[in-house]
Amino acid sequence: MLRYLSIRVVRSLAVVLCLSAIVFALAHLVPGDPAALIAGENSTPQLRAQITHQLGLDQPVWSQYLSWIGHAVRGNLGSSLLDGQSVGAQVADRLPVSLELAVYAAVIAVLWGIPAGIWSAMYQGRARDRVVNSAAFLGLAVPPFVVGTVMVLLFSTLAPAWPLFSFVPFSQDPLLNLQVLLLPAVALGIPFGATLCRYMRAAVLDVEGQDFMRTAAAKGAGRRRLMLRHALRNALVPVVTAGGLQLGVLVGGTVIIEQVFALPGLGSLIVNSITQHDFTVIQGAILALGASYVLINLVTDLVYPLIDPRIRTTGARRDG
Amino acid sequence: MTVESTAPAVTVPAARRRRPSLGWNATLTTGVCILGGMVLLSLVIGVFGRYAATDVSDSLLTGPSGSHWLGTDNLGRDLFTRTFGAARQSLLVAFGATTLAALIGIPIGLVAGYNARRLDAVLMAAMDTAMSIPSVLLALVLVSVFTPGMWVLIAGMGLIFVPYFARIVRAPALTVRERDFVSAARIAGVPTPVIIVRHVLPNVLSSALVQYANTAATCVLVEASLSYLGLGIQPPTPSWGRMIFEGQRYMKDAPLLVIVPGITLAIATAAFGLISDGLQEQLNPRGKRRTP
Repeated sequence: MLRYLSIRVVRSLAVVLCLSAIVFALAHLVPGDPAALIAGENSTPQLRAQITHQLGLDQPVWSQYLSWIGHAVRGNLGSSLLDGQSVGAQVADRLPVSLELAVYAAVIAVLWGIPAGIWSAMYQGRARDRVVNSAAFLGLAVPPFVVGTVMVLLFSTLAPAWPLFSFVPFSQDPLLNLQVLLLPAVALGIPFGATLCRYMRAAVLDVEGQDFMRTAAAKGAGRRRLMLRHALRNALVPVVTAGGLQLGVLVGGTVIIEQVFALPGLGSLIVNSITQHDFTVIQGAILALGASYVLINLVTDLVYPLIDPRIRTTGARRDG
Repeated sequence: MTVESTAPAVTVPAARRRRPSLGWNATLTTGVCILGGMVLLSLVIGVFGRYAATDVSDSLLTGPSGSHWLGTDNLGRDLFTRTFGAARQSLLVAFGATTLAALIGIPIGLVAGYNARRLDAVLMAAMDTAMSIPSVLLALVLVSVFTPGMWVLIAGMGLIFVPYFARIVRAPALTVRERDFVSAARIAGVPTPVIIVRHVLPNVLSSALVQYANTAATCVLVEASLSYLGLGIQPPTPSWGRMIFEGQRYMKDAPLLVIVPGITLAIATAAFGLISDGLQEQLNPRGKRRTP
């Protein structure tokens, strides 16, 4: 168990370090001089040199990276090139919105995807199975931002009272907050749930063919008991693996869906900063979003031993 | 990932143990037909169409009519022409990026799987790390540095999806290297590169093909998402994502501006999905059950 945990933690740290290196390196490959961007096109060379020195841009790249990562670990992500605002503060402001949206969407996805997958597996090959399968297939094909756009159109014409583009923090008005985030979360939850549904169906079918299921059925277990006690627990393992990998798609989805619904999350910060070439903000925001994704993934990894006791003893993960 | 490295006790004649052949089934055929139709249509309309995708006119936001089959957008551009012009861009990006990813990823997976041990561990650790970062985030980093456009999308997404091919190819490569005919070739003194190309490669192609369809579908979605954000294909070149973004403002009066590109985008992704499902069905026929 301890071995399993330490491998997971070290791996997560490696991923975050790798992401930080990519983010750092790319922002330095940018054509153009950040000092010129700050000081303006017509600034004197002396002023630019001074700004370059202040930003530490005259230091060797590796020492710049070390000092950047050193500050980042302590929560200091530098300040915006454009307005001098602290990047850390902006990220701290917006990260909760994105995370809430992602969690909300994941909950919706699990609520419809897992039962739909089980149900469809129980009626394999029949009409119900085919309906669920086609629905999941369609859910995967239509991207969230299209679903979101269409929902905006529908709600603005059919239910004008629905709060569409007015974000309210959870701490201010929890109910209104959940109502505002419902549509974006559904838009994101549809494809994620469809993925879970397809994996769940395959996993249940896979488990159903195994010997212990026949044994349990021979011992007289009913259909419900067979499914709930024997099949589900085994079927969930590959679904959690696959679901964990798909969380990345969900995080990417929040970036786009925030733009559709004008939500003040990390995604809209990233997109705005990219259009404005504000590299310190891009660096900080992408690092924060990526790191929180890795953290979520680490948490899913810790769920495994609860579902599959074999991991607790051997430390090995049985994928698929 | 369970790797079946032990040979069956009873030897089956080699002829009957060939790798599963790629045939056709209804799902696969449907997917290929839809995709082929879309490619053909986008080419035909590009060459013989009455309008160019960027032609503006005075008839703004008109509904469907004889001269503009699906109506026009806010600049008087023909929606039908633009939708299929966008199909050309989208599919070019999808095929270009996926092919690039396959060309780099498959050799990496083959070498890692065939050599096993240390090189395998190093390569796969690198691939896993890269796969642990959400692809949209990586794409955003890339477009923030380079001027967005079709070639940046192809190169960027091509690199981002390399690990997926390396991973999918490695598993069958690991299995194949334990098979008798590979050992025989090795003992006979066939050089490793030749073994990999002649004996291992053909056995991993089917897995790679399924991955190709999946990755292409993802590329279509990522391109559309980036273009929607204004970070992909740049206007006035048509792209589904940007068309949806621009159409949003006129959505109440001209819903087709959003719905048409949205549906075409979904059809393209669905076609790749059908191809992937059909291939998988073909490769793992029903009734195939894993033993615990």
